[in-house]
Amino acid sequence: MNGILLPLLFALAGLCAYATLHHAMIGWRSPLQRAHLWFALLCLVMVAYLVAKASAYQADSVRALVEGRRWEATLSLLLFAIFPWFVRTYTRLTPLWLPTVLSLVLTVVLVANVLLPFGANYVERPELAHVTLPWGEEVADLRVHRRGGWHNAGWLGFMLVFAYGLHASWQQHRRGEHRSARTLATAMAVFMAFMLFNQLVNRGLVEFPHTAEFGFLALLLVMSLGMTRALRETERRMQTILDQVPALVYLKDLQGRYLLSNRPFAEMFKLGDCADLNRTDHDLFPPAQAESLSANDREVLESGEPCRFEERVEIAGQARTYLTLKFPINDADGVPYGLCGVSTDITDLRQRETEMEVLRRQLRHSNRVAQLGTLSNSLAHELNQPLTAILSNAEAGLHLLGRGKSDPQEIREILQDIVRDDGRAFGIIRGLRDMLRQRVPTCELFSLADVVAEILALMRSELLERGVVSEQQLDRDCPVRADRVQIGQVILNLMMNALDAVEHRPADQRRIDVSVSRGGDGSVRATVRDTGAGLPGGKSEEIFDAFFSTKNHGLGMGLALSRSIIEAHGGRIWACDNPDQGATVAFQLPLAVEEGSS
Amino acid sequence: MNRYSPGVAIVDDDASVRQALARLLRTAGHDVHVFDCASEFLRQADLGALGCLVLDVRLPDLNGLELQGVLDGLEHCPPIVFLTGHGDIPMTVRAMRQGAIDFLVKPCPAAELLGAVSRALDADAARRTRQQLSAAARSRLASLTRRERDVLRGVAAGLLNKQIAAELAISEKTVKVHRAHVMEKMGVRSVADLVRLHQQCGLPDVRGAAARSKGQ
Repeated sequence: MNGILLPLLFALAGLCAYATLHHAMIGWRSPLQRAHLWFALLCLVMVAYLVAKASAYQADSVRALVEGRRWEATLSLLLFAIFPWFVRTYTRLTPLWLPTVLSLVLTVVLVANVLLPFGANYVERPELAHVTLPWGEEVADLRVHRRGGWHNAGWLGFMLVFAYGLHASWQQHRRGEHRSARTLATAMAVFMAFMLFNQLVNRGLVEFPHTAEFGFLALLLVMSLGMTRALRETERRMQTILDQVPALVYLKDLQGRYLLSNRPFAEMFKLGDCADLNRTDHDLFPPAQAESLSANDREVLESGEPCRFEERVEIAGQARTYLTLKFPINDADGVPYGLCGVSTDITDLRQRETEMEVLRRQLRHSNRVAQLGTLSNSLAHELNQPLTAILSNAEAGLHLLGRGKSDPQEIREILQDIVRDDGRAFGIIRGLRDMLRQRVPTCELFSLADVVAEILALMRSELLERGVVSEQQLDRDCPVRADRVQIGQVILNLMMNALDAVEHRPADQRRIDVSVSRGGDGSVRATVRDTGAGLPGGKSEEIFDAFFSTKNHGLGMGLALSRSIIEAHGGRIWACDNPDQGATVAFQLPLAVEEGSS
Repeated sequence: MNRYSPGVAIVDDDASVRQALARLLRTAGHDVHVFDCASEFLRQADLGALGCLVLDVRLPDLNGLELQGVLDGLEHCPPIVFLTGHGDIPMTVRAMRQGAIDFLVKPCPAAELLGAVSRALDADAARRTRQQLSAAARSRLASLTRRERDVLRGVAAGLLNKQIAAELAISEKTVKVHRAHVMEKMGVRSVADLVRLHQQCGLPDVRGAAARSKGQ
């Protein structure tokens, strides 16, 4: 039986070389898998060690034996100096000083091993001897018969490293990571057993070659298995997270075939098994929807950037809306091979938003109806004026015609007046109809001053009735782009508040001044200034809260609605006490840039 | 009946209403004056030349009812026709109680307005006649002597000559002479005319006068 030990050593070296590559690739550029890099380094050192060991077994002179042993010891010391760092990374222990001290001790021995004439193993010049192994193979005798201090120091270092490894796995066990703790402890124990067997060989108690390297093989196997299992664990953890995400997560290749998906996706499409995908959007959705989804995919792949889409699809006969984030998935060279999508179901959210919008619209509408209801007497009066004039003019005309001697010029004047008053009545009716109609908000370009003037026209009689003096400064060149009716409603609310505010003032001190002007910062501003009692308790913010009211008959919605309207138009509204008497409420809106002008 | 044509004043703050009403009343043959508020009316209107006031209730300074109150104390107060956009019952009651001719609600048909205006002008004419008669009677009354006035009072109270004589402590014959002078000076032929004229002057009757003199 010739040549078993050496081929075994080389086979083991090959295995270690493979393990080096394997773990290096796992650990490369992956911060979470840094332990694999350390392990790869261990394997690499082991390859060198095995080569050195094999050359030592084949030594044909004392010099070759000494140098071979020196190399062997150097590499084993290096191995053990690296080992604590692997352990520390693998078990995620925090103290830095323990591995540092261990590495230092072993490095000192390593330096001694390099400097001493016969290395750390031999205190004196060894003699070249050969031993015959049980199966008849003859190799150089590597046993150490006289152990010096450095040899023992090295061994002490090895034992300390083992102790550190056991300590680390105990710590890991206590943290609850039983499996990886068990893996490490088993590997350490097996390795240590082989190392101790070395001592028996050294002491001549057993006729056998050194076996420490086979201990490393055990370590290699156990750790490889454990770490692969840990990788699978990581993968399963990712899948668990994906499955629990309350969104559809999926991966598609460039042809739109689904490569991977999470459980909600499978459940949504009743696919049963996630792995059995390999279909495209065209298998899952009606053609038009599938085409629009594919168009989104193409956009993402072309731009190479993450994009958000709102995707409307029909699933199991139900229309659903998804907010989807799609981003390209690149391979190691940065070439996209697919895209990932995360789709969150926002159907209910959109539904609620729509309902909220309807409610808001109804609330605004009832506010307008209520405010105009308060004004009904004055509005009737405002409408009666032109009607009275029309009727009187018409009857005067009839009278003139009846008398037979009608002056055409006079009849013309009468008819012109009728047309003018009809226009005035129509203006009031249109204003009322706009304010009273349930309507969808629209955006148009108009002068803020015009709307203020229209509302003030509706309120003219009311001001008169309540004995309120009003001065108006309206700059007509104040274009805004907004919902005309809603802005009118804000002015109406502010005016009604001002009217209520001045109600308890003496008759000659009831005053409401209204102005519309351009602000300096590209805005248009409207202010309503009254001579009432001022803001209640100086609460300039609270008055805009819903249900804040100081009136006996108010709901406290007027200013809250006004604020929501103004803010929805990108403006702001505020209130302050006047230095002399009363309060001023003002709002500003962005100045509209008229189209066509540069 | 009316020798001069009294004007119609319109007070309304709304220009087009004012103009249309004025046109309507002018086509009906009235002399129309327009005012846009109560203070303007008080400042500029010639009250003596007005036979009717068409008044809006809702006005910027004084409202229509307040203006009515102000005019009520003046000698030449034209009859008022209220014309308002909306009238409630208390407002109407108050206006009518203060002597308004009518309370019309806008828009009001021409027939109604012209009817009310013409009633107002009639009332104004009657008032003017009364005032003229009363003025004539007063001037005649002023020409009577004190004794003749005492006798007139007695006659107006329906006393017999004998009773008057006793009351005044003069002879019945003297009473007859005074009475003849009174008839002549007052320009009446019968006692009935004399009594009516006396009432127009608004003089206290003799019993009141006697009661007063007794009290002294």
